[in-house]
Amino acid sequence: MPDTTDTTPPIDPQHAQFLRLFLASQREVLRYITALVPDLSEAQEILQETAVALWARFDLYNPALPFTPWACRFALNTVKQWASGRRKWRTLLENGLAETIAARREALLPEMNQRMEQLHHCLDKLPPLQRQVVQQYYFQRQNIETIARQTGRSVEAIYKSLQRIRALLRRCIEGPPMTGEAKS
Amino acid sequence: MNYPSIDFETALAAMSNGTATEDEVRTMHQLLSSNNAALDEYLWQMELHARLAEAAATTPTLMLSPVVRWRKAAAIAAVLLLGAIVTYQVGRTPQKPTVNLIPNPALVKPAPPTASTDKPSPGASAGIYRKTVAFGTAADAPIIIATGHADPIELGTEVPYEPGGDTLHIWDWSKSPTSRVMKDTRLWPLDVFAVSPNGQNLVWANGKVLNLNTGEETKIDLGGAFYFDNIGGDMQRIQRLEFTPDGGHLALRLCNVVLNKSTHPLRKEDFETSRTIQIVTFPGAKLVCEFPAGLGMGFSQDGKRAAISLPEDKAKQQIVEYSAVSGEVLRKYEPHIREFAYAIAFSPDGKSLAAYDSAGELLIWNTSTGQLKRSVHLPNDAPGNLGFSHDGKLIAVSLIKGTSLIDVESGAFVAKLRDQIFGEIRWASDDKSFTIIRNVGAGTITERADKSGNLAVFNIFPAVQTLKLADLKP
Repeated sequence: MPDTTDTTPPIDPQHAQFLRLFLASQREVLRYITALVPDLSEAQEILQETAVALWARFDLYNPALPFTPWACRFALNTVKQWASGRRKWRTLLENGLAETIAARREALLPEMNQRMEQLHHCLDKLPPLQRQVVQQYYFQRQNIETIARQTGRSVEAIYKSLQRIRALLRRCIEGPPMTGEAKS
Repeated sequence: MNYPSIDFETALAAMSNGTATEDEVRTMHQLLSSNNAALDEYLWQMELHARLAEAAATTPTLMLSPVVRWRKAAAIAAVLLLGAIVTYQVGRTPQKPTVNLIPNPALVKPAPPTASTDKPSPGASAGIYRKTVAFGTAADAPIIIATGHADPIELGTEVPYEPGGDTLHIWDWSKSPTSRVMKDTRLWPLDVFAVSPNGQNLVWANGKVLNLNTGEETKIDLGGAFYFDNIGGDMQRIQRLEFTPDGGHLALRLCNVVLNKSTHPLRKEDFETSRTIQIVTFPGAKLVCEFPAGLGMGFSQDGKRAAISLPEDKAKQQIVEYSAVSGEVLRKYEPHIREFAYAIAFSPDGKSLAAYDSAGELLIWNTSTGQLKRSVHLPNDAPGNLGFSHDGKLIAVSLIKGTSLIDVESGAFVAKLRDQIFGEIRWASDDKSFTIIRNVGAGTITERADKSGNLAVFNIFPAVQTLKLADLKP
């Protein structure tokens, strides 16, 4: 007979609320961070730091206001703190550049959201080899050297391939809106 | 660098791929500062870059296996439901209090299969961390309390991370590093509680009072929690609890429910919350006064004045002094600080007030005149701990980036300590030494191999470190 006694205390509703809000907004917050710090590994590290800060200050969150902008403000501060400790990224802090990038992204966001709806269809249009690179690089998070080794291509070739893929997709999403099924 | 140009495209790709040099980053940033078209192109490319990473996880041909997805979902849920922020450290340097990180497995690179994933320890390989311990300290006595299991625990040791630790442990760190276990007293990791300054009483937000010396239990009425019938049960009304330094009052940080008449034709009311501090007598639990809640808060030694940083959720805060007797504003201190004041402290004689600005500055005011007496440049950090010596001549500032000892009158550094020191500060009665109590506020966990060689997670219990002034060098 298994022991079904639940010895854990009841879940705090505040934690549940934070879970709901953060899960709903974390993708947008990560995109926001990526606009400032494009390397996905570093952006994810900053997202985690942001999550820590958000939870630490969650009792200050006003539920009457949208969560994502509130979270993005924390993300901006976290990025700035992160950049201040890295010489390579200090220029992000000069002349309010981080704020400028964030503000311009906010202005472009409605159009971006609309255009990016095409992305899945555009991915379907990629040739198999390029789809494989997308899969290995973006999902499996393999580094370029590993992809090069596995595919028998040079590092430079994979590097250029990623550049071409992004350019192709950029052109595709800026094309006329698609109407549903991807054409083969 | 020009735009458009091959150099621009190359730098963009290098930044996306994480291979950009310092020169490429700097040049790109200079271009973005001066060229709006380049900025737009950059933002489009980065948006695409970020969305590709998402699309890879949601496009059917690229999806995760159901098992992995389930584990990720469970891990996210568990991580985000954790009761407090934990400090996560990997390796065998458990006392190094540096990395604040929620180990959210959904956000980190998938780890290659290892032996440890075949035999997962509790939470370790899945990356599931939730709060399984809670700590508290007395302000004027060498007392630390914590949750734990049935066996005594040594301060500073690593205890296997596992749920079910619900038993009260007490340390008198002036006498022994080993805990005294009150086996019949439950202290849950998510409980809201406070230890009296003299270390004699433990008070829970639900009103239970435990005499830590005799084990006698009494009850006071602190108003309890909100109860929402049918929609989730209790909601914590008292989010934080602390004693005033004199021990005669409790400060209750409240989350108040505010119902406003809604303008929506179908919704009767809109639900909001507000934060306030209620001062109540202890043990009488009679309301004395109420004032707005700030981010940081410090009380004068007599418990009659409170300084808080307002507004609680915005930078450029102002330190405002309230009467903890009437709730009236006594003084608003200028200048505003640049960022957030997490740590605020009155000097023992009440004549000075110090606040640590997370922008990297310690400010000290004269409370009689309101004049800023001193500002001292420090590392930018958050949170922080402050502690005046009993004679008010020195102040210790403990940050994650290190602890500094500062002469209040001159603002000169008496000592800077950079290694493995961060925590609450307790001065010895003769002011010849002070003790730092580590790992109390946030708690710390570490991940390492256990005795059988499998990767396992451990809670690191608080540790105390006493520093003699005579041994410190500027």
